[in-house]
Amino acid sequence: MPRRLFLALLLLVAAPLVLLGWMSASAVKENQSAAKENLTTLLSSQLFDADRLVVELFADYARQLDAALESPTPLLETLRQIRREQPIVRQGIFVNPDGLLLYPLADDLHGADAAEVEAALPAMIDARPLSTGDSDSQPASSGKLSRGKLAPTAALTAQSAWQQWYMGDGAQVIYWRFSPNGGSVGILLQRSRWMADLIAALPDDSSSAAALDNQRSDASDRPSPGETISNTPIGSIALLDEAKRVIYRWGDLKNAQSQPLADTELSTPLASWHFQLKVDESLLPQATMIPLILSLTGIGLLVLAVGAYVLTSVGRQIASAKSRVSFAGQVSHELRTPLTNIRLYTELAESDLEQLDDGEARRSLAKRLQVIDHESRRLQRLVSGVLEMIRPSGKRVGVRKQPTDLADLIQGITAQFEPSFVAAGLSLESSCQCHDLVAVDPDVIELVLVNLLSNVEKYVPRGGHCSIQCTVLPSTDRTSDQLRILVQDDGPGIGALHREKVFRPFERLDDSIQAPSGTGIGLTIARRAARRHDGSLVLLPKSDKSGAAFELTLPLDPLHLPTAG
Amino acid sequence: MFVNELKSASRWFATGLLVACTWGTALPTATAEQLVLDVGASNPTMLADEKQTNFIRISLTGFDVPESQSRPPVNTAIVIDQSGSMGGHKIDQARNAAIEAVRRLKDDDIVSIVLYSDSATVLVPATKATDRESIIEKIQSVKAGGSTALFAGVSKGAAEVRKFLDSDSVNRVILLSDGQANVGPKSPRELEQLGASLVKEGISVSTLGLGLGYNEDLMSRLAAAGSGNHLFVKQAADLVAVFQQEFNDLMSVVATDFEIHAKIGEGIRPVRVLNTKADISGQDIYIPLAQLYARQQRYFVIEVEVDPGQSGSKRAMADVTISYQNMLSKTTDKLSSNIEVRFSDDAKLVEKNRDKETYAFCAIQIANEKNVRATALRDAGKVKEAQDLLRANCETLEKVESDYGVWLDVELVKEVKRNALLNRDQSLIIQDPTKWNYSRKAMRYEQTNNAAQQQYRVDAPETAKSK
Repeated sequence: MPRRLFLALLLLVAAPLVLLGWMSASAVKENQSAAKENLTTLLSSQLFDADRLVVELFADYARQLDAALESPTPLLETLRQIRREQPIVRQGIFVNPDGLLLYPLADDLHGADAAEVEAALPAMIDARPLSTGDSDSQPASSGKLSRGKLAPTAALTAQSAWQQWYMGDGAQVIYWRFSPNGGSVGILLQRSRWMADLIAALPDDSSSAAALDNQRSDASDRPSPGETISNTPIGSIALLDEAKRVIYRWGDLKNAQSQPLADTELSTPLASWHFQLKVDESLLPQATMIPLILSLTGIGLLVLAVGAYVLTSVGRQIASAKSRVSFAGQVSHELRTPLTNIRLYTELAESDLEQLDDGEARRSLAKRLQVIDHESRRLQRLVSGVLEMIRPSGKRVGVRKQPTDLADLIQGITAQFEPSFVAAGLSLESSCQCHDLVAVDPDVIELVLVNLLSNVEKYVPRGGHCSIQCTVLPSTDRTSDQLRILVQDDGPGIGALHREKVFRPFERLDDSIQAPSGTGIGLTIARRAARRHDGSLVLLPKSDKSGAAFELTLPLDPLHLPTAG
Repeated sequence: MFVNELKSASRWFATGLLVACTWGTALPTATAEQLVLDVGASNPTMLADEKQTNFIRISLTGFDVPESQSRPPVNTAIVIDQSGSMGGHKIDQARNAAIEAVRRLKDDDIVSIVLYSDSATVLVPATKATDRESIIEKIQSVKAGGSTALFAGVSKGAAEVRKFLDSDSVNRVILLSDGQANVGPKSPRELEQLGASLVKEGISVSTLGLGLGYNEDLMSRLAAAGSGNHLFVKQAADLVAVFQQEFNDLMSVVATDFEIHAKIGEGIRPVRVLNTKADISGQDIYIPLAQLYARQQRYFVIEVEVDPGQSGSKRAMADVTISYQNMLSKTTDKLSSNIEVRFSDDAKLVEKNRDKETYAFCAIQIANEKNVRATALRDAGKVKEAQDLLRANCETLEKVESDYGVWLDVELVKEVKRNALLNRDQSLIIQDPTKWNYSRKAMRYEQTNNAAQQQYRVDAPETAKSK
């Protein structure tokens, strides 16, 4: 019992702690992520600035190429010339309105680098973005999605568009211009060059420059942190290509290995590239768990203390109850011997009385002795009831089976109750269909029946009727032979609600002053006794008569069944 | 009437005649010094009725700068690796080298200092070299630490040079690295393309590989495409001297912004330009070149495939036009020349008419190309094949020397001999796996050096001086 209490106490402490801990931890986490989000939004402006540089750079290229392509020289000559002279141009492409490649032809492509372009050209041209003028052909191009191809990116203007294509070292950018007659001019940009220009346009590692400046001016080894941060981007930003390789990074690079705080895609035409922002861990809002843990520990200790107090006081009460029970047991035990003696001497006195002459005095004495006998039996039953009650539950001991004539046994019990039943105006009948000797503990049967009958006596109103039926049920697959004793009356009965409750100790359905006297343990004792005998005592939901119907079943051990006769 | 009659041992006499014979179209436009353009074919006479390969050599020779003349202004970005591997002695030497270089600059030179490690830092934005002391002070604060964002360093350096980009100045990015690029684009090809792109706007890139840890493929190809020098600095202690050498070159530039255009005649198909990435489109070949140093002889060898011709017939082989910015006269000058090929049935005549000088130069470039292949073979673990290739190179070059040595210029003979020896030495050293890292860097350096003739200097060509 105390162990169970102890577990309950632990649960009592743990459950609210866990709940509290979880709630506050999630609240803290939520706060932290909200703060992180705020910081991200704040710092992401750096990424937008960087992205704007990219957009401007490619817009510059477009302007530069537009200017070159609008020169009066023949187009093919221009394309040849810009490949030689424009640093950003790797290869010009000209496709006529029918989609036929007119430049470059095999003659224009020499060397390994050119072979790469030559191999990629047909698919690249197939997937080229189309002039937004004929928008109905847009799905056709996206339908032809081939490996390594990105859907054509948004057009700059109606006459030009960017295309991204994977070839060689990675993403390549192609600038397309559409002439009104349907021909298209594409310029494959030199990847290394736009990467270099991008890097040149992006900020340099000013943090270390600032640090160096400080070193120079202070002639000290470490610059003071305030000065460094003032002209440093917060955190570090990395430019990642489509394969997540770092192309360039700047800022405070101490935390290059940490998780990125923000990750944004670049704008067209480098949509597969990313900017990643990383910041020093110390800048992140770090809600420390220590106060939370401390307060939780405090609450835990408090609850534990209260629990311990409750536990000890409960334990103390349990101990005192136990001692009281054991005292009651001892007292009951002690009462047994004198009671037995009283009964013995009553019987002796009765037999002595037989030898006296019949007369008024003897009849009177016999009557009184009968009362003494009756009352001492009652007392004995009470005592054995108390002993039954305090017997450690779950132990099936103390059953003494012996060959018993049930009819005799029941007859004896009914005879015992005869006088009081008559006095209460009740009738009692018994029938027994078992005429053989059976191996049962007669004390158990007596204990049960006496308790049941005394209840009948107490609760069935005058004029009531009670019957005891005793049968032996033949063995089934699951059970051996069963002795079944049914006690029914036509009293007020017991409501279905209370069917189990009546078996609980100290439960009385009517505990008022007007109620008949009783200890409230009769049925408990009866059921316990039945269980001790591997049997059961139940209140049947339906009775043949109008009142309560109790059924006692006891298994009959066939081996020990003595032969009849 | 062609160069077939020339047997003079004096190379410059030959060149003079050659220029005169090839319709004498080298037109000096001013009284100032001019470059010398020399176009020759390996075999000016070819066997008839047979499809053959021939080699055309376009040679440019820089004039000497008179003492009196002030050199053209320099616009340079010094891009220094300050990654962790540069720590200690190396970064000290790099600082010293940069400081010495800055001290040599004139007031109207422009310099910028870019550092790179995890990221790139513009330590000194492009500025006139007037305030040398503050620049030097900044350089002295450079410390090593971090990784190697080489691409970013070159990008930022180029951007600094671009701020004051001027055709009248010598624009160059000088890259120093001792390690593998490990942040940002890092393939040799990507850097090569960046270098080629920079040359288009007149910025050249020189690369200085320090120690034994740098990526020689990346550095040599960046320099080759970037029309600059590639130098292999074994010891950090040599760094100051190598920087001085680089600045010597930088300050001796006599011509920039080249446009070299060779139009190949009908019936002849251009195959490639040896050891150089050129823009070939149909019959037109454009060869990129950022600058020419004083007295440098720079030549390009074009491999062509010649369709069969009738005996006795002639065919126009190449029309070469060159325009460049003359750094002394500050004018844009033009040169042009052309060359023809004849067909003959007589194999002896073909042999007799062979242009020995062009033949020798072509042999050097062909051997150089084979040398590159030998490196690739050695990379693939085929040591034996690589050695055979190098020995064959050596024998070919020795044969050229023994066959034609007497007709050739002393410098050229020296160059042929040097290459023969180099190939032989390399054939021996490459079998030692412990020295491979070193010898590979040495090989790449020699290959780049040969391809760009970065150290091939000749006496000033008297014949080209205008009257």
